[in-house]
Formats: sequence, structure tokens, C-alpha cells
Amino acid sequence: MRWSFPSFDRRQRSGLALAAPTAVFLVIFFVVPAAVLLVYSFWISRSFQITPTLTLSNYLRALGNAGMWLSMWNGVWIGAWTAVFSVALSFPVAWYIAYRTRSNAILYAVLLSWFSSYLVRIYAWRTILGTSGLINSTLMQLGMIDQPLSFLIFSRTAVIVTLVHLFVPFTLLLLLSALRNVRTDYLEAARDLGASWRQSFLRVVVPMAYKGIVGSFMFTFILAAGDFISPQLLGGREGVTTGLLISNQFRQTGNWSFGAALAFILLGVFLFAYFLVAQSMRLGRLSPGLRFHPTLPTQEKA
Amino acid sequence: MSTQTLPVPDRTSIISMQGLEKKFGTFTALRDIDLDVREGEILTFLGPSGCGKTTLMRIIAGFEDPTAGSLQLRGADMRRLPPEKRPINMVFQRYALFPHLDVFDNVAFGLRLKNWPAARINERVGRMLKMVQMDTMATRWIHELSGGQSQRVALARALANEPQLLLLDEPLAALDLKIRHHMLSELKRIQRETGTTFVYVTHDQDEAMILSSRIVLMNHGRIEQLGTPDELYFHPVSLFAAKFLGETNILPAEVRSGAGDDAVLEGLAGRMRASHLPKGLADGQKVHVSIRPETVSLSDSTVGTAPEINGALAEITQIQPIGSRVVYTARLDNGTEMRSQTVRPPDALPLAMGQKVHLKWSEAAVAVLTA
Ligand SMILES: Nc1ncnc2c1ncn2[C@@H]1O[C@H](COP(=O)(O)OP(=O)(O)O)[C@@H](O)[C@H]1O
Ligand SMILES: [Mg+2]
Repeated sequence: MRWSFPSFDRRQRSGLALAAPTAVFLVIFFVVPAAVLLVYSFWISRSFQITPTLTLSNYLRALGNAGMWLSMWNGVWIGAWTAVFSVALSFPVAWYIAYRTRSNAILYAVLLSWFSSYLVRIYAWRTILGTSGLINSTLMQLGMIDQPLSFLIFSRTAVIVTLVHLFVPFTLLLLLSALRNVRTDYLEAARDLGASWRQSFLRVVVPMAYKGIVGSFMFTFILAAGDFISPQLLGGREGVTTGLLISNQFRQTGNWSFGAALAFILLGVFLFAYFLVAQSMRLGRLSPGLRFHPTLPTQEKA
Repeated sequence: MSTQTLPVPDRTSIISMQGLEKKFGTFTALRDIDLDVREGEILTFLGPSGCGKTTLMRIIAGFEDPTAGSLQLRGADMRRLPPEKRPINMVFQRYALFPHLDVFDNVAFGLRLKNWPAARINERVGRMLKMVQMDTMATRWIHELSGGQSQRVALARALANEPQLLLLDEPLAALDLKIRHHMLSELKRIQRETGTTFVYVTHDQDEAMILSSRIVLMNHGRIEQLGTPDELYFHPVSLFAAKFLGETNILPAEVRSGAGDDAVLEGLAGRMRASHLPKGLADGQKVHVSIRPETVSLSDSTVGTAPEINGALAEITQIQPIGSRVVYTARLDNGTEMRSQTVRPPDALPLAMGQKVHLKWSEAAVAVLTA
């Protein structure tokens, strides 16, 4: 069989030219680093030295380790609740901004919180949630508690509270831009056709804003589940996440191969989570692009 | 005769509005709306942009609450009824077809909410799509439709619920001229087939004239005039109505020699008599008259004599052929200009620039405007 270099017509050439920058960008910033990391994960490394010996030992060691599973559970727990709360809290605000007010004041106020650094905000929450922090001292002065509430700090709760604060501006922006596409006449058309408020929300708003809702949820979930700074500073014993283990492998232990294997296991978990979310949206008939009638054989081809 | 149609008892009215008013803050968008929508008619809200047509339609649909007045559906108060409970459906100006559903599921949207069995839904959706001639495109996505096709699907979706009243808000405004004329006759056919009452909003007088059983002419949130297309065209009650519908010559005039049925009007185009006179004209009252260009005939002034009444001597100052028509502009001795329109002859025009002519019009052609 002869293989010849495919020839392109003018339109295909211009299409390739337009796609080229994106492709180059993806290769440089995504494909190459991921490929390098993937190769590392099948090699052996110790004290920042890598030996190119093909092995599955990194994966086997990770998957056979109870601590790794616990760290995964911590991370997924933190990520899932952070995503749930971030989306749930910002949705009503995005709704209000999109449909109820012409002013962008709320949006700017929320975005203003970005002007302080990540670390500053973590320490702010430490002073609020700490044993002698704002909440505990207030409650104690009011006589509502005798002992400081210890679950407030150095727990998954503390991490989740902080991360929600961190991610709400992101989710708000993503949801707002999704809702801006759902013009009010779609909502009115649904009501006009007999939908209650709830039905028009589930049958029109959610499928139309699907990308924004699922996108902001997954975005927050992945970043929060993989975070290692907040868990380290606020999570105490519950703050050992896979993200933290990975960062330790790369920065302290120097076992890059094991770190890379952990990273790919985490990636697998994220892909599985996305699959679960997308599938449950489909089953709940909340995704766009579904047909609810038996598709007739293509009559439309005229 | 009066062209202000009052509720006629022998035709059932579906919607009845009395003293309806709508304020947005301090701005009054609608005032003193007294109106009945009658069973089986095509009622058109016509008026310039911003006069309140959409607002009135949205009040009927339930998306806006009137700030005063009564709104009844077959004699029952409708103001507490939310939009989803009203037996009324709407075709939105930008169609508002759901982009996440295909054509079939858009039309089935309302029926699914009623938990109809699949077989019944299939039958109804199939029938609706056939009616709007979209039955071959049931599985298309919305972004794969042209403007005219979207229009048809929006119509099918609204009619699938078999509403007692269908509201259409400038449904043809986004289509180009050729499709627009075709869709107008389609709308008329579909209205006849289904027997549904239509309330149709437009700012286009031609659409209103072609389609309507009756026209509600609106201006600044009020009803300017209500009547059949012919009533509005031939017997406008106000300067606004006369100018809004079609071309016309507007001339100031004064009522003379008695205010009875044989009142004579004296104005810039000489003396004239009108066969229809508004009630209560007083001697000396200042009015306007409207004379449509197609009712003014021109003839060479060297033949015959100038008419004493409903006519004048003038000189042609402009000749404007427009396709099948010719519009002449003629100047009277006192400088007043009047236009006359005739069918364009296939050969050379009989009249030339600068020629002296006699203008003539009938008594029926004179509409007297008191407002
Ligand atoms: N929600 C609203 N808030 C304030 N003013 C409005 C609102 N809706 C309509 N208006 C005003 O009411 C008037 C009538 O509007 P509309 O009914 O849309 O006119 P039309 O459909 O005849 O063009 C306009 O001056 C418009 O600016
Ligand atoms: Mg309008």
C-alpha cells in the first residue's frame, strides 16, 4: 500500500492555518508536560534523580497504600463540598445579577475579594475560625459555649469554608455568563407553554446553562480537590490530601516518579467524577441535546 | 357614523379590558384601554414603536400586571391567573425556541408538561408540523433552521396547546420581504384552519391591512381608533390615524354655512363637501381634511371648467413614477400642494410638468378630522 502526503484544498489550508496556534499552544503547554510526566511515572526516581527503568512499581505502591486512599478521600470530600457550596451560593447571586438588577455593583464587590492574596485570605480565616478566633470568642462571650468549638479549625470544614470563599468569584462569573445566554424570553416561553417556575428551571434554565453549571462545578471540584495549601494550613490531620502528597514528592522527598503516578491516579479520579456528573445530568434529563422522542429515520435529507 | 366600535353583544368576546392602565414607575405606558377581543377574529395592535403594543400583549399573556382597570377572560377576572394557567399562547418576537431541544421536542414542550401519553403527543406534534409544513424537519436542531422555518416552528409550538387565543408579537419583523408576504397568507390560512382567535402586533400598516379583521390603532399608550381596516383607511378620526395609514393630503379647513349634514368646509383647497361628517360639528370650527392621493383625479385645464366644489385649479410641479403607479404633485394658486396618484399607463404619460390641470375629488373621498 502506498502512502502519499494528503493534499489540501485552499479552504482546508486556511482552516489548518487558523487552528495552528491553538494546536501549538496545546502541544507546548499541555501535551508535552503531560507526556513527560507520564513517562516519569513509569520510571524510578530517588532523591531528585531519575532512572529510566520501566516499572509499574509507582502505581502499585500508591494503590496498595491505605494512606493514599485516605488522602484521596480527603481531597475528593473537600473538592466535592467546595464545588457544591460554591455553585449553590453563587447561583442565586448570578440569577439576581442576570435578571433582577441592571447594576454590576454586586459583581464588582465579589471580584474585589480577588484583590487580596490567597495566603492572606487563608490566614484571615484562621483568625476567624481559630480556637481563640472571632467566632469562638464571640460565642463564648455570649455564653453560648463553654469550650471553643474545635471542629472549626484544623478540619475539612475549615478547608471547605476557605476554599468556597476562594472559588465563589469564579463560579459566580461562570454562572453569570451562562445565565446571560438564557434570555428572559426563554423563561417566559416556558411559562407561556404551561411550565411552573420549577419546571421552567429544570427543563429550560439548567439545560441551557449546562456548560456554566457543570463547568463551574468541575472547575471548582478539580482545583479544590487538588489543592494542598489550604489543607496544609487549615486542615490539620484531615488536611492530608493527594495534592499535598504529590507536592511533597516533588518538593521534599524528591521521588518524582511516585509523585507523577499519584498525579495520574488523581487525573483518573477527576475523569471518573466528570463522567459521573455528566451521566447523572443525562439521566435526570438535564443535559442539552437530548431527544425525548424516538428518532425517526432521517426524513430530513431532502 | 361612528367608527369607535363598542362591544357588540352578538359576538362573544374572549378577552375584555376596561379602563386598563399600566405604569412603569412614573411613566404611563398604557392608559384608558377599553377593548374586547372577539371569538375567531384577527385583532391587530398597530402603532409606532414604543406606543405600548407589546406591553398590552404581555398584560394579556400574564407577564405584566396592569396597574389599574379590569381584565376578564370570558367574564372571569384574569388578573390573578399566572401565565402558565391562561389558555393563551404566544409567538415571541425572537421566537424563543429552545436551543437545547430539537424541532419535535420544542413543539412537544407544552404537551409533555401536561403528561400526555407518547402516542397522543406524536399525533399532535405531527399534525402541527404538517400544518406549518415542517413535518420533514422534526429532528432538526434549532440552530439548523432559517428565520422562516423558526417562525413556523414557533407557531406550531404555540398552537400545539390549542390555545383559545394566540398572541403574535411582530412575528414577521425579522424576515425579509418576500418570505414576509408568503408568511402573511400562511398565517391567514392557519387561522382559518384552526379557528383560533389571533391578537397580532405590528408596526407595519400593510401587514395590518392584509391580515386584520379589526385594527386597534395605538398612539402614546392610548387607543387612537378601533375599527375594520376599511373604516380606518377611509374614515380616520384623527390626524394621527389619517397620516399613519397610507399616503394622504392633509389640509386645514373651517366648517361653514351650518353644522348640519350639508355643512360646507372652506380651506386651502377651496370649498368642499364630505359625505361622512363627524357628529357635533360647529359653525366656524377649525378641522383638518384628509384626501387620499388615489381619490384625486387630474385633467387638462383647457378641457371643461374648474369644479366649483371638491376641486381646484393647479399646476403640475412634480411627476414621480413608482413602478405600477404615478404620483403627481400639483401646486394650487395659493401655494398649497396636493398629490394625486393614478395607475401608470403602459405608454407615455398624458400630463407633463408645468401643465395646468383641474384637480377633482368626490364627497366620499373627504375625511373630516376633528382631532
Ligand atoms: N419593563 C419596562 N420598564 C420600563 N419601561 C418600559 C418597560 N417595558 C416597556 N416600557 C416602556 O413602555 C413603552 C411601550 O413599550 P412597548 O409596549 O414595548 O412598545 P411597542 O411594543 O409598541 O414598541 C416604551 O416607552 C417602553 O420604553
Ligand atoms: Mg414591541
